[in-house]
Amino acid sequence: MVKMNSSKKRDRLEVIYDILQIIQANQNSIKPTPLLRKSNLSSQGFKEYINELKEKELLKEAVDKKNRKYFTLTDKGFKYLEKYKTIMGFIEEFEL
Amino acid sequence: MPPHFFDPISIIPEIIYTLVISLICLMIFLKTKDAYNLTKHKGIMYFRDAFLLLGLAYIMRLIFGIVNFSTSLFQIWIPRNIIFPSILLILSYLSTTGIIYLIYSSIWKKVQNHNVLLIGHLIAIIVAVISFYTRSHELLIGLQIILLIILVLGNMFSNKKKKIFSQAKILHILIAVFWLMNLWLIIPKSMFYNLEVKMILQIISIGVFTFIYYRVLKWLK
Repeated sequence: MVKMNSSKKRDRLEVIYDILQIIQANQNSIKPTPLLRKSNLSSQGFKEYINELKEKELLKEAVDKKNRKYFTLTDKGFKYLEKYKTIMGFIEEFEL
Repeated sequence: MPPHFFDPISIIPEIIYTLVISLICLMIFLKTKDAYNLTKHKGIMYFRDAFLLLGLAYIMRLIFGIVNFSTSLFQIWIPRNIIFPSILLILSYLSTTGIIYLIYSSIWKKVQNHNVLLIGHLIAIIVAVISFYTRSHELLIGLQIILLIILVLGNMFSNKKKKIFSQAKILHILIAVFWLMNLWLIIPKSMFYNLEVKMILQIISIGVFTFIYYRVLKWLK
């Protein structure tokens, strides 16, 4: 189970990482309501992040055989998860 | 007093130096491309843009030096009234914006005003226009020194909790200082011009840029 960091305020990149990691941990397929619950965000904040992630093509929305929506990662989303730690290291090193 | 003759041989190390610095700046810009595309992180954007601007500024600095050199030694006709101040205008804008972006890349989160960068561009335009009309690279250096001091002091006062001079900030300040020194020494007629000092400064500045590139490469291979 993916543990959410709720004790301190997460920065934007960390929230994105957490959302993408939840999707990945759920075998790359999760419905909106469980994702909202696990992401530890308000519904307004969740909506904003999901729109941003869709816009940036880090995840995509799909429909299953029963016409239910679910989220899945794109290749770019997988790449984000892979590169996240190194990018954060770079940002911290140069204090950006 | 006989006229001062520029030594043409000294232009070759100048060309090599400019190519090395510009190449390093370009490589930093390219190496950070993926990280920016994935995250759209503003700090990374300002950092990249700073090095692109400074790389271009170094190239303009070389052209500025060559234009100055070729009118004192060769009988090549250059419409100095147009070309010289135009180069200085572009050089001023690129270098001033580059310095602002470099410092801003590490303080943008603390500055809540979205107009700061717009103000920065306006300052760069004003500095460029002043340089254009005065045709003085010494005045440009003076203005950029004042700007750098203001930016550094502003950063110090806004950063009470963290270390005032971290390694990253020292590197940023060094880059700006080396830029100012190299701009001063591009013209041989400049006061305190000394070829040996110039070469030592250039070797040290290549070292600083290379060190930054190495740190970028460590994270973003």
